[in-house]
Amino acid sequence: MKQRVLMKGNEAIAEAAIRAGCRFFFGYPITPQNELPEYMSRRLPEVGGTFVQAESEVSAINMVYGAAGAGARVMTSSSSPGISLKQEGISYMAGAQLPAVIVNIVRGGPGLGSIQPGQGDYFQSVKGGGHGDYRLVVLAPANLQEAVDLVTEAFDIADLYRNPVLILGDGLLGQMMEPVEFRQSTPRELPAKDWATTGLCNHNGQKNVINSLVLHAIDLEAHNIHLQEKYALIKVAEQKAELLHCDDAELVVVAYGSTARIVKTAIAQLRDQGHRVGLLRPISLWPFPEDAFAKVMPVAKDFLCVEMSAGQMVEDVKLVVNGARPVHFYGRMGGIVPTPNEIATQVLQIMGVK
Amino acid sequence: MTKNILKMSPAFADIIPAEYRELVDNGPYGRDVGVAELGTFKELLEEHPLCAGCGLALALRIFLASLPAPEDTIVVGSTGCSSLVFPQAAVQNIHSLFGNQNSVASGLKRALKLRFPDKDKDVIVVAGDGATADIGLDMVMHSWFRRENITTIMLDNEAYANTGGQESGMSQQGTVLYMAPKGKNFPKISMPELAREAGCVYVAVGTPAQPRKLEKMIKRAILLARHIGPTYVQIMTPCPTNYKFKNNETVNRLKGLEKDGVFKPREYITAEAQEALNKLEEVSK
Repeated sequence: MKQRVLMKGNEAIAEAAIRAGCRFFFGYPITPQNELPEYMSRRLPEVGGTFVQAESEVSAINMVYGAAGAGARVMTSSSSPGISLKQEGISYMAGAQLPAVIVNIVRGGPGLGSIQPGQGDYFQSVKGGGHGDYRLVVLAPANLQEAVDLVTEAFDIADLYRNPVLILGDGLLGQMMEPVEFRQSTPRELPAKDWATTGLCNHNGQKNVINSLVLHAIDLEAHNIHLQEKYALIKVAEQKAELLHCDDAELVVVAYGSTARIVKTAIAQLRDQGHRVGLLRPISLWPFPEDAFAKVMPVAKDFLCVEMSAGQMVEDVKLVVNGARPVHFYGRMGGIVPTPNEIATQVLQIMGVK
Repeated sequence: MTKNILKMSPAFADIIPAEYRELVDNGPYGRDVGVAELGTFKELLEEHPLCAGCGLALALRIFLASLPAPEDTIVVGSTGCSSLVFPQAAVQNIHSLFGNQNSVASGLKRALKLRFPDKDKDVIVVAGDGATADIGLDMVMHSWFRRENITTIMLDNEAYANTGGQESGMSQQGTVLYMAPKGKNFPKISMPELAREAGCVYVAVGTPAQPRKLEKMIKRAILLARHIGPTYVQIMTPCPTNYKFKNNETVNRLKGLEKDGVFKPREYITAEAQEALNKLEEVSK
């Protein structure tokens, strides 16, 4: 029998991580994600794990670097300004190929911004928030069940490709409550972590080094080529998207996370009025779900990207659509969540309905 | 800057808000008023968004009344409850990154020294315990190592209060807080002693339960920072919201903590600073 429990988003993500085998969490207070580390501070000791409240986000991400280096499943979470502080560590982890899961419960920005939900961290998340040529796998749930399912997926992807994975939520998902079921996912075949630095005696004398410093240009280029080959594999294998009513949709709304939930309400209204509107919801923001766009292109006449930002994902939509169809944008900022009516009005305007 | 530039143009006097007019006519700018005169002049802050009974609110009222030259003062703040009053206080303010306040203050002070060579501009950092002793400790300490002419004031409520009450390095060992469900497992950081060792010429630990004493500490710290060296004042400011005591109990709690020996007011002062103080306090007598 299914067992569903009512949980707050931040706590559901934490519990899912524990069930995915995460035993190490390094956190620091910042609203609106505090319930996640708070839950970990209570639960991890019960399952033999370790929780540390670090003295800063910079310290926390470096503790993650260390625990990942030991081959453990490790997580940290924060919200936008704190994630900015972690970027240096994230770049180093991508460079040193360390698996870990990082949760960003996004708030309004820039700077200290606000504590209301936002999606202004899209560029930072998918284009590389730190320095250098690297990619994070970025997964953006739109409801808590999906968030819970994606946590296991995130740990598997991190271990499979030896790369940090970012779960991109927002203040709305972090703070809301929904019933969730912690269910078994199809297990992936994961490689042994024979690269971990656990001492020579554990590796038959094999010398393991975790490092992102490669001083010779020719070696660093080879390292970069290896990373790019890895990213190319991920791009093919790890795209995720939801298509709703896209079979006959003349206008396809593109939205992710909380915004997509609101778009769904707007689409239900518009469908009732007989308008052929669909939703393309990227679940993996990187890799961007290009294959899903190929499916909707034959019928779609227009695209409308809706975000809680000044327009960030819309640039990726334009890259994929590549001029073949008009791409429109509607966004709210500063912690303002768009309403279904606002979105429906935009859609009708584009469709030329008076 | 003199008090003159705060004056209103008579042509606009009738449309200037009454609170602002009162501040210009009866504020503390250019006047020798302090804690003893509270109630007789328009204070720099009269309304604030802090909780009822907040220890920070008590300390900040005294702090703002203790400023030797509010018209030449810039308060540098950090994220958290400690910063929330400054947008509506009649003193200039920079709010910066969480923990980076002493670096911002260092840059500000150096630029002001150059721009106003004949004037003492008081750069005062006001930040909480998390910003000062945890995330910002490196930058706080290095501003002291470099002997920056700034005053650092920590409002110590022994928690991350604005995020809902998590432990900080300044929480007492054993205290149960969020993210410390079984009690904090290391002792309170000895910031005053670290400050003394790191180069602060004057270090004081005070409480708003003793307003006149606290005023003296704040004034000394600000005056000594002008020419002698960095100074540090740590003010115990209990948090009724997160430590869950009645909001009319803040002062009693402070007195109780002192009586039980949990909280110890103290002052460290270098010989050079003492000499300068003797001269300053002689002049004011």
